[in-house]
Amino acid sequence: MKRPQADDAPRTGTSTVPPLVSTAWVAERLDAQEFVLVEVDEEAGTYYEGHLPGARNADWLDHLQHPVRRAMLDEAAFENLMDRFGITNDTHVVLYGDAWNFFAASAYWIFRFYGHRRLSLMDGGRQLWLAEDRKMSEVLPEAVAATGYRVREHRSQIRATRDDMLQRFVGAPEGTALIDCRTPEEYAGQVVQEVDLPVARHRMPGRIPGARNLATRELVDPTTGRLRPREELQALYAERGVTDEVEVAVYCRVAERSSLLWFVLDELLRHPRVRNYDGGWAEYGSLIDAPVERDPA
Amino acid sequence: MDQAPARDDDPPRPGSSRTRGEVTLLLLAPVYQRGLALGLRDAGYAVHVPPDLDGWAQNAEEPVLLVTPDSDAAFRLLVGLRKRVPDVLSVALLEQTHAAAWSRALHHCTGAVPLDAELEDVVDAVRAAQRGHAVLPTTVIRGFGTAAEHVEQPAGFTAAELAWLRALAANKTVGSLARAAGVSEREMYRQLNAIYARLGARTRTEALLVAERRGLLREQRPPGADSTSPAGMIDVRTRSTLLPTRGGGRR
Repeated sequence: MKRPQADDAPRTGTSTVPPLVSTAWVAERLDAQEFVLVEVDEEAGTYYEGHLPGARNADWLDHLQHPVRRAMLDEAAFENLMDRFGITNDTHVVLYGDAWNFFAASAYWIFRFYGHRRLSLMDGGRQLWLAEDRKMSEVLPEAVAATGYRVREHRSQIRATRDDMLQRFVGAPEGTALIDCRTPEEYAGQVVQEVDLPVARHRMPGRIPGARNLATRELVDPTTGRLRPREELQALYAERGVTDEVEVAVYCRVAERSSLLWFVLDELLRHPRVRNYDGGWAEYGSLIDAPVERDPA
Repeated sequence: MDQAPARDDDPPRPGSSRTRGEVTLLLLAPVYQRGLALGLRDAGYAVHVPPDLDGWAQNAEEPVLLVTPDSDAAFRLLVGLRKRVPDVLSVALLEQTHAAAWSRALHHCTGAVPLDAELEDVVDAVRAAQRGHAVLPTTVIRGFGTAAEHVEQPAGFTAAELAWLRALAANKTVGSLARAAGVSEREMYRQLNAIYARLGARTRTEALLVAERRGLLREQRPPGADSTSPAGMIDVRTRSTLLPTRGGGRR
């Protein structure tokens, strides 16, 4: 089946590059240095086993999270990271990673939040690049002079806060759709990760009332790691009540999986109003007196 | 060898004894893989070599019997596979044959056998693994006893390695550990990944959960402070776990 989304024309007004590019697209342009590659893996040490030639390594924990608070890195840290990676405000950045690009998609969302416009995700990520036996390198890119990167806007319209969730999305009232993209087990309220055990009843298992379940891995072809064809993606969302007329919020546990859901809906399917709740269940499940829904044990 | 190379899903050879089951070969060097596949087929096994390793590992649902090298990559793959298929049986092919190499392999695999062993010994190891057993040379078992008498740190980690795990648990970055140790970030990531693999983990998050469960994140107490721990030894008493899964399996 044709996969029309990779290398598609850019979204008018948001970017000047396609949001999704294929491995072949990247391979054909590697030598021209038209873009900066950034690898974002579940475990950042994977990069040192070999990476795309010239790629920079962004550690999702150490580089893309705030060092003290529970939050994404702040504006100054983002500018500093761009400086170190040799990225200017006009640089085309191509993100990729392992784990079905979940963490690369999270980085994509953060780049977008801080207003970076020329941005793409490589379809299939590291897994597909390796499966296609494409060129890898262990050579680390050289240090570069600071680029003077400056964040020009915060695109808060792509982010949902806990107050947004409580005031507008709990119960999925008319005009909204709420998508929980954790596994069906997590959605049902089963504890599948040790860190979520309610040992001190500090975080309760369950879901936000009104949420429909669309596990992120359903978006991906498991044999290639590529996103499914556009019409299949559209159907997955439509089956869960997502239309252009509703405002959508997506969430998972710590916002890496939901970032891919956001990417598909916002950047590929061009939904006009979709927000990623980056607090995720890690935050919502800990809120005092917040409504929680759970399947019977 | 002038015989046709073994292909995916090759059945046992005609004339071989009854089918003993299916063996899946992973991450082996092509020449070795071909010879082993022929030997296993002669011994009555159907041999499978997945063409798309990642796809196969992500979709495997039935219990399988594997033969793999004793590499970090193979052990990481096993850790991931067990999240989907807990009853994986496997035999590691050992490049090194000292007691520590056997011990590390048996931490991850059902059995092990030296890479340069005779074919019939490898087949014996596969047959034993099918029954959940490992065949070990007597010298290796003696080596385990000797090694145990001289272990300073029961968990098998150096003081520096334990300090790194504790620092990561305290939210330090890998970069800060590298600077403190006077090594490059690349080297620090590599050393940490080797530690994660020894803990049976793929990622920092999984490794810290395992380390916590094994008591490795608690500071060593001064000698005599805890009468149940011999002086100078790290307390690695295993606490009961609330979940049967290892690490932070998810998605």
